[in-house]
Amino acid sequence: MMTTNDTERRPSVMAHALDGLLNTPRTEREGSWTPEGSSDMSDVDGATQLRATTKADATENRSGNTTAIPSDGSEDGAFDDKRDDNRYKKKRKSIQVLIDDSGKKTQHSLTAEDFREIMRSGMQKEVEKLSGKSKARIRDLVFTRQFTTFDRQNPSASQSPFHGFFTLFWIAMALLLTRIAAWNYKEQGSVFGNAEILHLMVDRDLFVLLATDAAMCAATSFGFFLHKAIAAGYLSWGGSGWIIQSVWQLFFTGFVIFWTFWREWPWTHTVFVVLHVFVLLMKQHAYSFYNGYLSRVYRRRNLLEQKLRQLDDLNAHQGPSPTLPSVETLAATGIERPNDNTLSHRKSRGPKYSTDFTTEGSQIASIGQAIETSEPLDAEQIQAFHRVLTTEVTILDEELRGKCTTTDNMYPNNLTMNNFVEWTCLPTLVYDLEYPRQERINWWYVAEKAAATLGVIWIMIVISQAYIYPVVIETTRQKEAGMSLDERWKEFPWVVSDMLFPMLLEQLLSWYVIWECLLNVLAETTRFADRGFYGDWWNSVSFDQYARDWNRPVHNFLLRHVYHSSISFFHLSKMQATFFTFLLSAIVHEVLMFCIFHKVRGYLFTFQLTQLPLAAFMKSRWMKGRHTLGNVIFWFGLFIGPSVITSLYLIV
Amino acid sequence: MAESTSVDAHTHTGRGDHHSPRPRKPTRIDFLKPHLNDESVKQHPEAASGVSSGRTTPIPADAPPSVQAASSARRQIRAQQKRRMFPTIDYVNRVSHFDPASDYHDFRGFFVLFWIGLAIMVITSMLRTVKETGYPFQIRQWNLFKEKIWELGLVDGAMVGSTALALPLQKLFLNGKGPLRWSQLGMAIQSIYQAVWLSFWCTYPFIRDWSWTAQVFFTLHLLAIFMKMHSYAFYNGHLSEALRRLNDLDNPEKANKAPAVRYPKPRTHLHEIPQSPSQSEPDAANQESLRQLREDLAFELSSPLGRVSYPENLNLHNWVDFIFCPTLCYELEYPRVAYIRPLEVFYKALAVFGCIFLMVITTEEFILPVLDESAVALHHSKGALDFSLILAETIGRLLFPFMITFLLTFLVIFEYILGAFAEITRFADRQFYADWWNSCDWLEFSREWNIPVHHFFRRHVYSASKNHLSRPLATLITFLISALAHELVMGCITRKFRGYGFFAMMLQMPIVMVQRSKWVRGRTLLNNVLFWCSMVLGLSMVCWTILPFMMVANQQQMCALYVLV
Repeated sequence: MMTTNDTERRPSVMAHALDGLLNTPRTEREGSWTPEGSSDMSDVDGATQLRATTKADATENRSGNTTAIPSDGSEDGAFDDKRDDNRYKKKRKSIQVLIDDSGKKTQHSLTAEDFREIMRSGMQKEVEKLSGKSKARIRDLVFTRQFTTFDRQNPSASQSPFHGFFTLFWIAMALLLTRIAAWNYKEQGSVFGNAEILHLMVDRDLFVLLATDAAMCAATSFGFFLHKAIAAGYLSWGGSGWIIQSVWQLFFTGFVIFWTFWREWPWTHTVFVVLHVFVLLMKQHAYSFYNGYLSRVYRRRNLLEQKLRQLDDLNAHQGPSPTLPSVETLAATGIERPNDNTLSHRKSRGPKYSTDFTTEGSQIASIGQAIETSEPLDAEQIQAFHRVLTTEVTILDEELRGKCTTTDNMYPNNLTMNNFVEWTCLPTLVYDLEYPRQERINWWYVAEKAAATLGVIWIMIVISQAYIYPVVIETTRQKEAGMSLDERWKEFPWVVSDMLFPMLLEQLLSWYVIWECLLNVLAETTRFADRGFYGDWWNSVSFDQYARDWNRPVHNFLLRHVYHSSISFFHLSKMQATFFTFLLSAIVHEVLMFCIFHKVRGYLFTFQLTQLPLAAFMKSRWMKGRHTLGNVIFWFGLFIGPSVITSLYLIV
Repeated sequence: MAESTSVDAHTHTGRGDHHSPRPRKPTRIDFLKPHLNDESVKQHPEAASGVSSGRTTPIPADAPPSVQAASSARRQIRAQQKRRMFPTIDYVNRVSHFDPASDYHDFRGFFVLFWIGLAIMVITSMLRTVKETGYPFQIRQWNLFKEKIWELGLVDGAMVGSTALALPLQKLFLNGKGPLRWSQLGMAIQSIYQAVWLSFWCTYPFIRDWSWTAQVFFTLHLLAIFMKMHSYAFYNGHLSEALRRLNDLDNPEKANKAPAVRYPKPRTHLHEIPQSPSQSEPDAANQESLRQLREDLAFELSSPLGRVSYPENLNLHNWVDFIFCPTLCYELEYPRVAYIRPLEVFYKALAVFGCIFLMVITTEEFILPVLDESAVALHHSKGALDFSLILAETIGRLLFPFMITFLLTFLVIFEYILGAFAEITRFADRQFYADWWNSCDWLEFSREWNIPVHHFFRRHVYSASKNHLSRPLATLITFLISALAHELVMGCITRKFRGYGFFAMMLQMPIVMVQRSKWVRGRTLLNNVLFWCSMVLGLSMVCWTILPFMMVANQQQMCALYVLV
């Protein structure tokens, strides 16, 4: 599209070039609509194909579902296309006429030049969108339809050649339980033993716990009402909204933690409430900050629309136009780097949520200012400005629409109680206007997974009762008996070795119960179709891979709201942002430890931060290609980590 | 042993590229049916017509070129589908399930976890022993191991060496005149030699009073070598007969023109077996059928990969190579990998010693103390109820170590020892086991967990006996022989032949019955759970049967795991 100098001299050629210019954006435009629709579709289709091999009964509703949404989307896209097409056809005609008119005047070479520049920037946006650059913008996380790895609905798991060992594992668990029961019977005369842990869990404050939990969930609606107020225009997110929300979040977390201390809850209560409070904290944060962003986009869009209306009211200034300073500078910036696509593009684009044209300094801002000061504009300029503004409004609209397949859930419409309650129940921490959903709920599956949840929790209680509790009691007894620190240090290796295997089991089981059972129950009851709650972290060759894979919801949250936000908000480099993310996660874990043990020691904090150099080491050239060795180191760390940390907290 | 679902190797899938283990078995036999039908459709008419008219109507010499071309094309296609007379095992380049190069690495992390768990277990138990006794470990079995180790080595060498007699015998049968040919005296001579050989080496350790570890090792090795010798001798004997007939065909008037006898493939059903021997030889011994017979025999004499043909293989080098190859079925030629990876051999050897070390430690730490305690407790027990309670508790405590030992035994034999030998001999077919852990019943398990022995039984016992006997009888004989071999190993440990192994095998029958019932059939997961349960049951049965002997003989052993399963 870069026309050379001599084309500018010859009006007919230029007209042709402009015609081409106008045509091409249109084709790009076309491309930019359909691929988006089709890419979503192909995503979904890919998921269906993947699942096509699964059992017939499982696929039936699934495939029906997956075909339903893309057909919606494509229809919608087609409709949009047609509408746009009509609009553009009209405009194209008028422009061609216009240029044929004024083509003879040489003065217009300049205006034509900057006009083209404006067009080019608009075009590049389209190109970028087409090539997926703007798709990869930071807030985007694509939700797909998938199953968890250990789910029997997942064909790759149920057909795995090693499935037999999975069976063996659960049979071994059953045998272990039987053995413990027999042992209890022999020693204590009852198969349940003394069941101290169970008593710890249910004896005190159980209903207070439940009430607290309910109150916590209810309190999260603060963000909802705040956003209602913002949408109604009482506040602005960019001004005071985000500060209010941040203060509230801080207060919320702090108060609940204080509450656990004040009620002197046993550690089981504390762990449950503190974990839940962190989940709710992340949920609130995601909800408020995403909607806050949308609210700013929404305001800008409204502003631009207002400017468009103003532009429509303007009368074209006839005759030789006094060249506008704003347009001239605009042209100059364009001419400065006519070949540097990305840079000139970056400059021209401007932020998506700015509502103050005086400080923004982009083309759109200068246009906006020009309209505001109602400077005399000739017809061509008005036309060009109109076009740019329309494009911008369309882009903003699209931003507001997010990944919705329909427009009725666009930004201000999504602020309903219904949507908020649903969001609170969904097993994800990344807020989006729409998620892939299942057609219906399979209640048998819910029952199965719920039973699995209870069963695994029971196994965990039994194991901790039988193997961890005695060790803990023994160490606290030693401490109370007044053993010196040195003497207790001598006991340290034995405490660790006693806890190694039960702790590993507890760790694996608690991971399994949360990410495989509980989240699947939640997902099934809310018809949430993206079950990518974890990756194959057991194959990790480094700790950063593990950190990414074992807890996908939190990882996605951290990626979107901590890592990328810290890059864009605090202007950190990637390295710094990574460090900041790790630091935050380590602090949160340490807070949890503080709540459990009521003391700040920083062991877990230190261990977590050593993961950073370790991850760097794993990526170094000594470890490159040695996947087995990396996996061995990873498992070794995971094996001894929990028991060493627990023993440290217990002993020192 | 009828429908083998375990191995589906076709040579035409091409050499050179590795075949990974298949994802998972087709759970229902129906899936195999179309395949069977295809096979029968393909072979039935061919076999039937092959007898009477030599498969094709002869083409006159002055036939138009088009007819001749069509005929030769048909012949080429037939040649591609040609089947050997002797039942064959298709050897293909394959890697095992746990090989890093295998396609299935979704859950590899848990394999690593298994090893790390074992390593940590051993380290902590060592630390504990250091704390208590001052030594990292006190191996009470050490004397057991080093006792008569030199004698064991020498005798083992002599045992293997003595099988070399099969080679001169084969040369004799190849050139021998009169009754000294395989089909007349040869088979008898070889069988007698094998019987003498087997009984001599079996009784040797009993006479010399070896320790049970040495004895178990020796007996297992003995059985393996015996199978190798049998396979070598009988396959070569069959080939010598084929060669004789081929040479006889040079004078067509006197020669025996009975069509080449085909052993049925184990997978084909009885009704599909061509009734070849009963049919009389064709009256009109026309050129075409002669040519066909010659082709068949020549095909039989050449190796599957086509680089060696029969008498050339009767040399010492080939024999030594076969002894070292990790297979029990003799073939003229096996697929080989291009070169030996010394590092791989080193790792496998390391893994073998590591596994044995782990097994010893597990025994030392988790099995022997339990046995000692329960021996004392049993000694003081009063009444049958008390006795059985103590026994049950002991079994409960032993199950986990037993399971670990069992898995380790499996890995050390089938992944590491056989893998190391395969690497040394560049043997390319590494599928020594299929995914038995997914199996749903014991028949399937017996097919899958030890593929070399399964192949041997299929080729030399089942197929050979099936030619003369009905299918159920052939199956029964196969099982009997297998049970006898197991009983022999059990006997080495307990020093008594009481038929416990046999009894345990019969114990599986009710489970098989349950699994065959219509409620359970087809439910893979349930079947797999049942299988593992019965495996655990089997292990506890081993405890049960061995326990009294341990008390009496004050011996320490659990390696009977080799055996029952």
